[in-house]
Amino acid sequence: MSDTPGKTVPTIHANTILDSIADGVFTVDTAMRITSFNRAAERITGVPRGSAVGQFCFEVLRANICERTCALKCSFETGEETIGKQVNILRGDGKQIPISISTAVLHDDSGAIVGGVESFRDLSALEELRKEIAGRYTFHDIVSKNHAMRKLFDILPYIAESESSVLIQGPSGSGKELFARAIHNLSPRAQGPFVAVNCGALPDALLESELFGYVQGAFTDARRDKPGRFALAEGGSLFLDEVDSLPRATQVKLLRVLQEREYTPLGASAAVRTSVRVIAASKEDVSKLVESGSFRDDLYFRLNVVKLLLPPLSDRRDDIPLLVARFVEKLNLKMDRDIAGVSEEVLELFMRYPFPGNVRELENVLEHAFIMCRGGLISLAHLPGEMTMRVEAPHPLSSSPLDALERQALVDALIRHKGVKIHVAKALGIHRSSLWRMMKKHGLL
Amino acid sequence: MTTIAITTFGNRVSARLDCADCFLLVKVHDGKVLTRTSMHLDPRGGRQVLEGLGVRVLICGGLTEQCVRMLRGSRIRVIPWVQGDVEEVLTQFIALHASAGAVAGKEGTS
Repeated sequence: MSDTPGKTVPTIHANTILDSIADGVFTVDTAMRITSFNRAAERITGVPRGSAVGQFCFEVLRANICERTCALKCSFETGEETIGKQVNILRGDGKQIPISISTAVLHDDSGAIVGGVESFRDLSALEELRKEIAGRYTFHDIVSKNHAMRKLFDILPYIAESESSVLIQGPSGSGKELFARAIHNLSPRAQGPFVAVNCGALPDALLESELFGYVQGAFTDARRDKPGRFALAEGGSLFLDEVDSLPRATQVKLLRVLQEREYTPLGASAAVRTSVRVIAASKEDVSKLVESGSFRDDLYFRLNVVKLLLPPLSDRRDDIPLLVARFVEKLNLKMDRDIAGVSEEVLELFMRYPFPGNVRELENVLEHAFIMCRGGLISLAHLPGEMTMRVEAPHPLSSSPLDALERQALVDALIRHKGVKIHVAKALGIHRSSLWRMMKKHGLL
Repeated sequence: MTTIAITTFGNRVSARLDCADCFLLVKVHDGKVLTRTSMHLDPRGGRQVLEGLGVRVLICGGLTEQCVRMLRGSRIRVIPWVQGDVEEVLTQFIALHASAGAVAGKEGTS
């Protein structure tokens, strides 16, 4: 672990062993200056050994406990080991890495304390999975450098702190639920539950009992009381996705909850008080639905205390490289892979592709590519076929209007028939060899 | 007169802003220190507290993405990722009135 000349054979062996393990290990003297730093420690912290040795450990690791409850200092004071304490460190690139640490005291032959040793394990992959399961997303998980999105970031902490209802509008896949979770996790209700309901996914007949619950005997199959989503979200936030699909009758009941802060479960005789914060989302422009009469204006005004408009990915293409990097990192952790990124051609295609499914589509495309790519960079060959066909590649031979029309017809047919050439040729009324020539001419092979 | 805040951990610049709970408030005029006060810093309301104290320059250690967002739009000039002895950092800042790269101590190790 150190390159001091004149090392003994056991020391060399010990260093080789420490460098070969996956956990970070470093040692400090009693002044908390680093005396050795293994290879995994370099990898996890991003700090080269040569820069770390001689520095204060709290300035190299920058763990969130360093300045208040340093585990090594505790070990020095009590003589006891710390095992598996979960903390996070801050790397030089501003990224926080979750780690678990273990510490122990080092003694000399006379039993005097000469320093300490700390080993640490990178929990990024575990944390990523845990986050996905528990949905504990924060602002850190919303990636953007786009001007419009940054404006949203600036106001989000204030929105989170307030108790007001929020309406999030944005196209499908633009991250409405991620924003809702981030608002909840930054709010004073963060320790309370976050309950998500997709109003569009529940049949009208079930929606009311799902939201408000029912009591025993409310209807034939109601053999026992069942709490609704409002009850489950008590003390926390209720996320109503696709709120625009609420039937009129349920809209009235939801309005009452927002106004009176109470609701009545099906079959109950008394109302129940609630302190749930409602965060609603819609891919439609709800104000237009109000104009057309399909959404109650009074409910709209109640929900629309704060409105967040999320742009489609096609309006924030400058975020695509950043999102790609984030998803590659996430998928590497999730799938235990080591994909380096995407090729320039792929990125160029992403920049021109319309992404009707927005950020979710980009993530799905990359997940597909991760399955197809065995290592190195993701290339065009690893992407779903329909994606490459959908993008209009500027082609030198398709210069005339007729050529452009021909190419468009070809692309449309390829998409419609999922690239199955025999079906495409039949649909276009041409022979397969002619199709092949056309595809070659238009750069679609 | 310029009011400078340096987040501290003992006699060192605190390694990360979001974990710092002390800072040194220094008022400087014509290259001379007029007053200096050690204060407790509540990370939750850090920006508002510093703005309320009239801080124009904040010298601190590492910044998380959340800190960057918190400080965005603030009139405080932030000199982050500074590492070193507080007195040396302050002395060099006053002497140089320089940008992040020229400020004392040294920048982060990565």
